[in-house]
Amino acid sequence: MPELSVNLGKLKLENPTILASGILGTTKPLLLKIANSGAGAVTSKSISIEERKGHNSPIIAEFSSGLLNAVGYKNPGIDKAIEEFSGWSSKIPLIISIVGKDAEEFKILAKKINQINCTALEIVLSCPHTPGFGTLAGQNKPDITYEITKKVRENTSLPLIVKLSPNSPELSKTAKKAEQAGADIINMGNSAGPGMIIDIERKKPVLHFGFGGISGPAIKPLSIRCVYDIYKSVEIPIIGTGGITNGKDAIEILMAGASAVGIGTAVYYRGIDVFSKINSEISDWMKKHNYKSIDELVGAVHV
Amino acid sequence: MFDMQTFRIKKIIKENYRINSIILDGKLDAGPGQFLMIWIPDIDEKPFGIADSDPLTLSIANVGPFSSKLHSLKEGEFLSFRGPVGTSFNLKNEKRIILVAGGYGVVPLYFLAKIAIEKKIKCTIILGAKTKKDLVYQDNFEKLGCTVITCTDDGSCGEKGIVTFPLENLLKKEKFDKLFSCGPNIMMKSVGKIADKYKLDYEFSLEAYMKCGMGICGSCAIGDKLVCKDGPVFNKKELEKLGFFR
Repeated sequence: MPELSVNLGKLKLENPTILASGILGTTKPLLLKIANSGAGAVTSKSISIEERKGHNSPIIAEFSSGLLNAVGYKNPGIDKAIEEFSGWSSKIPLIISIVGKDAEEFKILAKKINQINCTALEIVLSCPHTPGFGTLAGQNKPDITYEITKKVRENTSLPLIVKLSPNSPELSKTAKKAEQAGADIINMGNSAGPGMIIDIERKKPVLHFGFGGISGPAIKPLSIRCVYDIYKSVEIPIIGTGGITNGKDAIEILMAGASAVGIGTAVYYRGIDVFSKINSEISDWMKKHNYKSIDELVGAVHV
Repeated sequence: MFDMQTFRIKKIIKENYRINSIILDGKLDAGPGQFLMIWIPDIDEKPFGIADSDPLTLSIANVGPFSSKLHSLKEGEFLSFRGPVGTSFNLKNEKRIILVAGGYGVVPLYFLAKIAIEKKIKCTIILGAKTKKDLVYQDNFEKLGCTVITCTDDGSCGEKGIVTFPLENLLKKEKFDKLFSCGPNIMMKSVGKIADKYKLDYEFSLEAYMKCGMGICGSCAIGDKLVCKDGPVFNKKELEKLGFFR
């Protein structure tokens, strides 16, 4: 049997599949269910300081090769989230995702997360559809990425994941800045765009917010290229996220340079057992091609 | 594909002082208990039960800004939605069933009763509401051939009190094969306890706050289940596992 376990620095996973933030991560029971469905790690829905109601619905719309979403960071706020996610009992790592408007907010959140028994902390600098956050607040720029990452680094000893946008004009430089500021892992990929879907009967955008982040198979080539690019600029491990739907997609992004894969939209297509499905597809492919461990695949395209 | 669909409103029927039935100009392949995410462009998208699938019929209570907008729509205008969403009530080989409706929970139970009667299953329905003027669909159920029992909080129609009183009185003397309920969760908790006491199997349609209707956002999670995808209809075993009665 091929060995599926991977080490992302201090973060050790039984297999390379990680539930991406924003999909189902609202309650501990839901995250536990996904942890028990074969995921190598699970990520909470992103948490902000104050409660956020998010955008009005429709917040998600489907098109032929993916989804468009503008959820708007609906979450109960950090204090209620701490109550919800405390007492994580699974051996599967729990990654807590946080979002802030500036370095100071990220610092407050990082400090509070120290109260939860979680495995790693993810800071999202890449949301394309929430004013004041992510790319709409310029958090995908190298200097701001550095400033926020550094502030969080100073306030947590947890493995620190920085989630970058595929829409970063200076992507390699941004990734390098995150690494220099003390990030342990880059999560390369968030929904892309933003894009728009118009209902032609009503002559209106379907999403209430008008536009939203594109995810799913449509953006896979973009994610592959982004991982390929930043693999050359950083030494720290990379999680490849964006459009990974099956085992072959996963192998493709591992070869581009990722050490693990984020799974989001594929949960919608293939159900919550998508993690065990992708793992067995990876395993079958590795057996057939005589690979013994994931390490042999990581960055294989660069050799 | 979870696509937006647009129908035209064929007819609007005023059921009572704040409930309108909206009949659309087509049918939909849907089961009783499933619901639609109704979209009003520039406003919001919210879940509503289906009262009938052919022609597609909805019954909307005017209780807030969104439903008030739906009430302002006129015959001939567009209505857009995504769905049907979720699970349906399951009828097997029952000969006699009992339905328990609280408030607007009556809507999917009417759809269920219609199908049950077509299958020659005998139906009794307990309709609970605040006052006489809040009771709806009584005539519709009678027209189908259901036995209708009403109760109101203030006694202005039928028995005074909540649905659990007539339910227990009935179960004491009569036998049913299954119970189906839709209404406020707190009402269904009491209904479940009574059904357990009389060893009666049941399915409930749960209410929950929903955002995406696609099983992704997690807004409607109860424990580790999603009401929009795993529900809204849950059977007795699932409800117990969910901790619904705790």
